[in-house]
Amino acid sequence: MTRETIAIVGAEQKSGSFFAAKLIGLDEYRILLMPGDSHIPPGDLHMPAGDMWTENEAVTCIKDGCWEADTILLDVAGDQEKETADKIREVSTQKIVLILPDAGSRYAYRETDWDELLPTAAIVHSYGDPHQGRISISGHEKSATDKIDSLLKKLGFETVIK
Amino acid sequence: MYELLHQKFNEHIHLTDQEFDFCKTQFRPKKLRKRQYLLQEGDTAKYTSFVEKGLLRTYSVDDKGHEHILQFSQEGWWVGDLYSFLTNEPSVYNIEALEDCELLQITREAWDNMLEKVPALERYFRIIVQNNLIATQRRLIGSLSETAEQKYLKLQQSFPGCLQRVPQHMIASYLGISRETLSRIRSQLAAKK
Repeated sequence: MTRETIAIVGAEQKSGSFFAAKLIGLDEYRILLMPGDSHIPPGDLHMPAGDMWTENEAVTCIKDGCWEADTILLDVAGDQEKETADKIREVSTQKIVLILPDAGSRYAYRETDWDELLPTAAIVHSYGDPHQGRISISGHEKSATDKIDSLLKKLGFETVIK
Repeated sequence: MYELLHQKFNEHIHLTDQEFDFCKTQFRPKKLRKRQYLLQEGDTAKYTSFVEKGLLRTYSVDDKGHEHILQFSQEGWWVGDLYSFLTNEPSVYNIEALEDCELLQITREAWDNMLEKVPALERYFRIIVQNNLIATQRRLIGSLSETAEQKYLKLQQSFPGCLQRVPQHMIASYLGISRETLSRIRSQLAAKK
């Protein structure tokens, strides 16, 4: 089987790093890690312990990383969202983009309209605290929400599709 | 990112800017690094891909573990397993990037949607499939009837500039000859010049 590539933008953030560790532990995908804050050098991103596969790596350029990706996971701080969207808009067309829950916020919910920021991507929103093991997801494209649902279940989450 | 695709469309059909802008929303841009696989035997081909940049090889592996290269795909070509793409059957081919590649991929659903919204593309894809059929038939008859030297010369004509980008053992595999035979042919041709 060809390994799919998953890019995580915001791998230094709470949800981003949590998902990075889980995905790398699964050892089924090629994982590319990128900082969500443009001021953080990728060299500061550390591969979570247990990484057995050398093709996982921290990537310098967000656009290139998302260009290589089949699926994109975003955990980006509010003031970086538009800048991130501008960088990846062209390369995220027809790709599934999972907006990770904002683990730093009380409601773990992002209000930004990513469907407008990335209009040609298949956006899947997620809600809840990933550390509690339960996540709700929603999106306009059923095939995308189904695929994310399957991925989250593989990672051990209890999921609800809204 | 879409320049070569636009150029290739324009060789056979004319699309308005609005039509081409719509087409762009149906493709998935994908970068592949050298030695990464686009498709592996047993996978179902979910996409067919246009090569904007780079070079790939399509090959199968026989029961003895020998590789047989069917095709090299360079800039401006389409690459994929059409049978698997259209039928959802597992592929019997492997497709590997020989260089870093930039591809534009499209799913069956997006492809159908694009053809429905932009009917002129029916003509484009008909010509592409016709050309591919002719090339496949010529390769088949060539492999049955031509000498190794004739096959090599034809490959040189068909892929100008491509042979320098491909290792010799892969050229030999594509031609269905041994490395030693290929080396002898190249020496003989060099001596004739």
